[in-house]
Parts: sequence; C-alpha cells; structure tokens
Amino acid sequence: MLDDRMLELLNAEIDRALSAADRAELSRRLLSEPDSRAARDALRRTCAELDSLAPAEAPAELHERILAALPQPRPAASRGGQPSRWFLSSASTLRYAAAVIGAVLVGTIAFQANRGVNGVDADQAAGTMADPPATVRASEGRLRVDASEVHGTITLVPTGQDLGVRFDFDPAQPAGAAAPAAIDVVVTRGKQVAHLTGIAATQQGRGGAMAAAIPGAVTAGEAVEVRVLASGVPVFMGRWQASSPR
Amino acid sequence: MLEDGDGGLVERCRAGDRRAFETLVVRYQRPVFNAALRMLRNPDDARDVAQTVFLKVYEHLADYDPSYKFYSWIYRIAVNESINVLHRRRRHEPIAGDEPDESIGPEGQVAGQQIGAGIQKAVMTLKPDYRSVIVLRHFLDCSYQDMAEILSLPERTVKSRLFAARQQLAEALGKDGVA
Repeated sequence: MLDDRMLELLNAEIDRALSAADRAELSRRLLSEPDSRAARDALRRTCAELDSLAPAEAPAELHERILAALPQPRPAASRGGQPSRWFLSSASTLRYAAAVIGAVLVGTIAFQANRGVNGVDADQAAGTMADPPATVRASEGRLRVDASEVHGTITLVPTGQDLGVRFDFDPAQPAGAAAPAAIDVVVTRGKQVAHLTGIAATQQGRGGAMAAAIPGAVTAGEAVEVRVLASGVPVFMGRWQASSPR
Repeated sequence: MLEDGDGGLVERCRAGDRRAFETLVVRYQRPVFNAALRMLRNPDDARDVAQTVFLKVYEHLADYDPSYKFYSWIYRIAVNESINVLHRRRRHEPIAGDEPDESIGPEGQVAGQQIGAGIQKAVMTLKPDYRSVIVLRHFLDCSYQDMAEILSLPERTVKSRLFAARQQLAEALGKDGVA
C-alpha cells in the first residue's frame, strides 16, 4: 500500500513535475521499497497506455450538424437594443413576486378543482373561451432541472396579467457535485428576458426558491425558453409552450 | 495574428460574426468530441454531447467571462454535459448504460489494439469525477492549473483525484492482466 507521499512523488514523476529534491527522495525510497517499485511500474504502464490512445476524428457530419442547429439571428430587442430585465434584488420585489406567485397558485388550485367537476381540461377551456391571440388562463408549466450541479423545479404560471416564474432548488444537491458559486435562471419570453439571480453556494444546502413575474398576458402558443447557469456555465436549457386553443 | 486567437474569435461572435463561430467549431470539435467519447464511450452520445456543447457556447457567449481561457470554458461545458448523460444513463438504464460498448469506439476500428480497448474499458469503471480528470489530463493534455479552472476545484484536490484515478486504473488493468 502506497503512502500519500510516495503516490505524490510517483505521479509528479509521470507529470514531469519533480523537483531535484523530490527526485532524490524518490530514488532513495525506490531503492529500499520493492512495493513502491512495483507500483511505479504499474502506474507508468497505465499512463503510457492512456497517452498512447490516438484521438478519434470527430464525425464528418458534426460540423454541419452544429451549424445547422444554430438559432437564426434574432432582431434587436427593444429599449435601445437591450433586452428588458427584472432583477430580484430588493425585498420589495421579492414580496411582490411571492404575492403574484401565491395568487396564481390559488387561482390554479381553484381552476384544477373546477376542472375536476366539469371534466374539461385546460386546453379545452382556453380554446373555447377566447379568440386568437388567446390568453392562457391557468395552464401551469413545470420543467425539471437535473443537471450535474443543480437539481430543482422551474414552475411557470400564466395569469391574466403576467407570467410568474419560480425556481425551487432541491435542498440536497447531487452527491459529489461541486457547489456552484451562484445559480442563475434566465427566462426568455419573446424580447423580454428575466433573470432570477442570487442563490449563493451557502444557500444551496438548505434549498430555497427564486421568483419573478414577467409583465404581459400569456398568449396561446407562446413559447418561453428557460436556461439555468451554474457559476456562469449553462447546465440546463428547457422550453415551455403555453397551451393552444383547439 | 491576435484575431485568430480564441478571444478575438469570441469577440467577433459576440458582434454577430457567424464565421468566427464556425472557426471555433473547427478548432474545438475534435477535442470536445474526444472528451465526450472518452467519458461516455459511445460515439453517438459523444456526437450529441458535442453538438449540445457548441449550441450552449453559442447561446451563452454573452455570459462567457474572458478572464478565463476559452478552452477551459468549453471543456467545462463538455465535461458537465457528459456527466449529465452519465447521470441520465444511470437513472434510465441501471448498470447496463455505463457498460463499455464493445462494438464501437475509436480503438475498435483498428485491428489488434487490444491494449487500447482494455484501457478504455478500465476508464469506464471510474466514477465520473475520476474519469473527468483522466480525460482532461491524458486526452486533452490539460495542466493541473487548467483542470482546476475547468472543474472549479483547488489544484490540490485535482491532483489528489488524478493520482487516485490513476491508481484505480492501474489496479483495474492489473486485474485484467493488461498492465
């Protein structure tokens, strides 16, 4: 069984990171430790095999597939080319968002109860009550986020006036995953972009939620794109489309 | 030729130059595909991961922090995306999904490279954290410092994972009679 110091020396030798003093120490120990010599041979063979594997060529069609999948350039956003943003940085904004979400949830529960009685689903209800562009009444959307660094649920709730967005992140994040310094949720709705920001690494162990409301009634068929970033790196992309009238 | 550097290309992409992005694709499609292939050992999954990685890069260029190396950023996305696929495999196909695919893989295309197949099979026995450092160090030629940046870990942790991963590989190959 190798001790930590010997493991460090052997690996430093493989990575050509040995100092002169380390090299002398390694030589001295190898002379007197047959087990370390055997371990060194095995490690060196292993690394030589790893390094001998030839890189694979990328599939010929990969380049074209990537370029074909790129989104088409979007027209410049309003407000001088800058997208609209809602940052939940103040307590009053948080209270407002919580109130909106709460009201919407109550409305949704009422709608669901009503649906149970009448046997009419949300799509049918929306479709029979409005002409295009129809506003969607209470068709809530959920997106499950199961990325390596972040687990949680995004809920999108259309009301008559706006679209509520809430991200509930799970208290227990994936075992062994490095906690990102920050989690950001970016919600794109047409030209409007809402950023849910501010979950610090220290909060993640306890779980929690961020919420926002994007003004404007949701129209039937309207699509919303949701992205989650962990420490600035995208880890999830999802799309939700409001129910279309039939 | 600063404009041919990653930073210059990223700036041009941000200004709406799709040709600059195409240059980044040409430059990084091979290492990104290889990283995914070594993590997943399935060429189809690796191709899908590579495609997703570049789409995410394109979508999030505005979020890229130029104080980090571009390749660190794209390799980090590639590793994370590959780990996501591994997690999904575990959920949907317990055990079998992470088994090496003997019918395909770069070494499978060349006759007589049994040792290559053995080492790749051994890599697949590593847990994702260990597999990541092996892929970054031995297949993408990243330094300790690069790996620390890509994985958002202290350099000391990266070394400790790498050393442990190599030792596990040596033991696995020893059991298989390859090493």
